[in-house]
Amino acid sequence: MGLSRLGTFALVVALGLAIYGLIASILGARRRDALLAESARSTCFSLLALVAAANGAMLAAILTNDFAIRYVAENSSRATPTFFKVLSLWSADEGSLLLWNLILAGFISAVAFRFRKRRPETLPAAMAVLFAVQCFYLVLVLGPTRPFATLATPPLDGQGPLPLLQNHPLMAAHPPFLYLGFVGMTVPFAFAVAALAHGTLSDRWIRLTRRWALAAWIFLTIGLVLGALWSYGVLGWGGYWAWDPVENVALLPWLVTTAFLHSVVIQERRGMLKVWNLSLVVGAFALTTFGTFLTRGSILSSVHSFARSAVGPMYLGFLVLVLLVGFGLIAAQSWRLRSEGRFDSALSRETTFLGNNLVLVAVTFIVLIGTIFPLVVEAISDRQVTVGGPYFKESTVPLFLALLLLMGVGPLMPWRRATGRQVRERLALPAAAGATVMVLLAVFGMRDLAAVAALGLAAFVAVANIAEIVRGVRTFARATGHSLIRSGPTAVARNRRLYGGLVAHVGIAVAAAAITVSSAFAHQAEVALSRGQSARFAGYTLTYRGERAVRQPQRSVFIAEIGATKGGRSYGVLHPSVNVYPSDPNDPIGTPSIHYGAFHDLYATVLGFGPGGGSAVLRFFLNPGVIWVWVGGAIVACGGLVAAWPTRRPRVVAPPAERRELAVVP
Amino acid sequence: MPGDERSSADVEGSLRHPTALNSGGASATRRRRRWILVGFVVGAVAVLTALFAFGLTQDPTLVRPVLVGRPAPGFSLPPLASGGPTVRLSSLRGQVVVVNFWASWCVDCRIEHPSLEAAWERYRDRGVVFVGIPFEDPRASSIRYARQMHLTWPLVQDPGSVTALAYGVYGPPETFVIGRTGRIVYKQIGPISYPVLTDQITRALAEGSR
Repeated sequence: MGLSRLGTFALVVALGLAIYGLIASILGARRRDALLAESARSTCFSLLALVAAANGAMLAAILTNDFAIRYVAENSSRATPTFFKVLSLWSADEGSLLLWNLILAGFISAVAFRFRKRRPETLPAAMAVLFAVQCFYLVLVLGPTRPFATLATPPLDGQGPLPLLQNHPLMAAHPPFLYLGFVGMTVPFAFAVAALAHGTLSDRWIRLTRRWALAAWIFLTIGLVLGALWSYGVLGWGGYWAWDPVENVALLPWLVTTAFLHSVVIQERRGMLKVWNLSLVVGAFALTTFGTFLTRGSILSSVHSFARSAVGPMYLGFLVLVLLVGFGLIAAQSWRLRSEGRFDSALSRETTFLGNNLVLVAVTFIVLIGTIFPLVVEAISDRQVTVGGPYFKESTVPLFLALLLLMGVGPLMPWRRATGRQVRERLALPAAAGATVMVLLAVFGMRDLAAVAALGLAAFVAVANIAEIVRGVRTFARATGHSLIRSGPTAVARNRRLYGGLVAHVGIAVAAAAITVSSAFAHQAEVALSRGQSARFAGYTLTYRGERAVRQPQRSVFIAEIGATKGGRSYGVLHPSVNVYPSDPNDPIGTPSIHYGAFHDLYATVLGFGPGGGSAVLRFFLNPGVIWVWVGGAIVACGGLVAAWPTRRPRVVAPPAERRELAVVP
Repeated sequence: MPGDERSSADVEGSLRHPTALNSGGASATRRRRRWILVGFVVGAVAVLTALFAFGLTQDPTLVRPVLVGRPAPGFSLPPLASGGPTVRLSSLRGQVVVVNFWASWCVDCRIEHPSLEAAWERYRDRGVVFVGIPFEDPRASSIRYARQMHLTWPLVQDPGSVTALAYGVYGPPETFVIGRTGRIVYKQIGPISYPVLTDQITRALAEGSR
């Protein structure tokens, strides 16, 4: 009882502070009252402490089995291992909104801290937007989605978390990273809206928020990759991306933010695409809001949806507000946003960036339409449809191929205008590499045109971007007279954004190749085996050795033992299992067993056991190259980090600074 | 939408540039145009709002049985294992037909199997026909499953999932009860229980004889 009161009290006071911060920021901005604005700015630190206290209260309640709190009773149990108890904090709607509030308060405090000394003119207005968003999410946890709601008669034990969510440690990392990415987009949105509301309309907001957008993008990238990894390691269907509505809504802001990270460079360098960039930032934030609405507002069914939530109208109202304020301000101000430059030539880095933007936005629309199409059909024709993987694959693959092409060509292009000779010289090596890969694949009998093109383009992108890194470092080495190795880190440090981008491109190339290979060459088979019987699958001999039951406090695990050999050599034992949780005995959760490898993964799931474990129905997958999807994702995130790493501002690159930079490059 | 805004701003920017003289007029046009843009945004948001508001009134977890009450889509399907009969729905008119979509990879199909088996044994000689249609399942796996589970009712194959599509199968197991007149009287998504199945069969039998 005490913890529930404490948590609710902390949230109420936090909401009070957020409202104060909102009003004081607005008044401070309008009256140009620096003192008022400053009081609003410093409010957010107490706000953060209070929201953290509320999260702490919930965590304490979970850890001490305080089943008087409904959330604890529904999402934890005495038998839940401590690790998964901590995860229960965000394994259901109410708790995850607490975490969401914490992350948002954290971002607001980070903004307030970042601009504690030099305060941009638009800071009060931006703070007002941030406080307004925080107010909305605090109202949610105090009103319709109350995590601290109590039960009149507390049960002796709780239900435990959803079986699917207590099956894998990746649940610890996937949601927080995704939330960091989603919530992080609030900061660029706030500064964009502040700039529009102020009518100052300089490019300052871009410089203020570019790195915030990049940080959110890195978190989102990591969150998406971890989500795919979780899906692969837990769900047992052998894949990692299913075009599920909630996967899609996490991808959408990533696509738009990726576009923004590119087009923002054009605005900084050439003063063009101002309205476009504002639209992208507003669009990215609107899409994160849309994603929240879709997931928590129970509008579409999905493996992720928190179905029982009845807060749809509130989310919808908030989404409408975001769209109207964001795009409405852009529409109202667009007549003042004049482009300062023009595209000089069709052959320049600007035009490839523009192409990249158009393709990314096109992909965004295709995925968005596919995601809400079932709703549209139901609204106008009273029929129900589902949109599946084939739609998304067939409509996005050509665009992703075009994107790969641009990713290879773009970095080779100089700004403003390229000469034919320049382009030919720089393109020669990567184009040759790409062509060689395509020819080799064709010679070795590969007839899947899209896969051949994707692999060839991936090679093209990788070589083009690595060559560009080498060229840059070599030029720098020649200019300074140092060796290549020694000048590498310094060269990178002097133009982090460029090199970060190139590294990210290499990561995308690796991931694209891996995705292509894993979807084009996967094998699967399903066999029913009696104890001691073997099956041959993709060169492996797989023997079902029997079943073993393990009773754990929170579940019963039935494990199949499968010996794997290939060409007489043992490949160890696979242990796919079926887990039965007392909260849902009719819905056993399978856990796949995966033999990870550099070239392919051997992936086994058990579909069911015969009486006494005397036989088992098993499904095997041979998934080539999947591990490189994660490697590619990690490289992309590293590229983002290189680009985002703060640079101190000693204009002259002094030798001590060099050594410091060397240490921080990941 | 953002693209249009950008291009209009860009075009105006470049048009305006050389003739500074009539800038007052151009600026007025631009101001007028901004209200058109604002109106466009408001309109687009209104459409989206209406759509999502409609979505909120629907239960996304509910798949409406649109086929119930309608004539069952006809089919004529070859036997699963060679030697069995081809099953033509139209030739079963006058009997109650239970169409069950299943797959060897489907765990729930194994769960519902005892109910189907028991209902089949009870009604097989009383004017009720069961038809099992495998869904998205390699033929060899289906045959192995049928042998393993001792399925004794007619089993067919559905090349290209044409029949499953006609029945709007969402995912096996799905069971349709077709009345004597050829209308679908009941549809179950997910494993069916013995009481529900026998109750629906009894009703279908009674309805036809009345």
